Amino acid sequence: MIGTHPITPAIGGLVGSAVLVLALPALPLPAATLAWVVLGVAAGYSISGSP
Amino acid sequence: MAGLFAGALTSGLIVGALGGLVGLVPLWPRILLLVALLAVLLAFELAGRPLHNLPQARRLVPQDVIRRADVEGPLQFGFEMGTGVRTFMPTALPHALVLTVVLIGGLGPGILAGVGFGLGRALMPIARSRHRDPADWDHLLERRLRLVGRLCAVGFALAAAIVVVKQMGFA
Repeated sequence: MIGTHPITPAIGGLVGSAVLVLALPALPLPAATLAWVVLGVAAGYSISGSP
Repeated sequence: MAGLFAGALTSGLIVGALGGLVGLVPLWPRILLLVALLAVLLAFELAGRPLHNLPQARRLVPQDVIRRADVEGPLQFGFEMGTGVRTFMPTALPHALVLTVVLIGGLGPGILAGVGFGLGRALMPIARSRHRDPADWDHLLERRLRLVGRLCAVGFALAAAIVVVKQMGFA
């Protein structure tokens, strides 16, 4: 089940960040706002090995 | 899940409020300090050798908390899991997040980062419960923990670059 593999959310976050970087000139305010959320997601998922 | 987000939001609010106080210091020294600290933390993450000697509780939320009461037990477990305080940290990205919010964030970014942290924490039980065999999912995660840490570190670095560039007024 690739959709629920532990790596999938991490790759999703990485792709999301890359899209934000590429969209930065076109999306000035939302990109920065979303970037704060992405920072949180990356930090939160990175400690998934520990409840 | 509600407890998890409440916990993450609480952490985000506290760290964001701290960021509001640090905001009294001029911006450029804060940016320079943040870039230097993130460079070190992320370099270790990407090298697959995360810094484990940073401050952390090194205790898990006890599973019996869930059984203490029908609603309050799972709520407390989720809350504590969401705060990210009482746990082992296989990566230093939560530390990097706190530094980023404190040094160049503030209350609003703290809340946004808290929502994201809660979402990131929630992804684990969601993905695990949707897998055909949760025990197998644990095995997969254990085997790929370093890779997950590296991928998250790259995503974190890209997003951090955006908030830093925004703060510098270049975009």
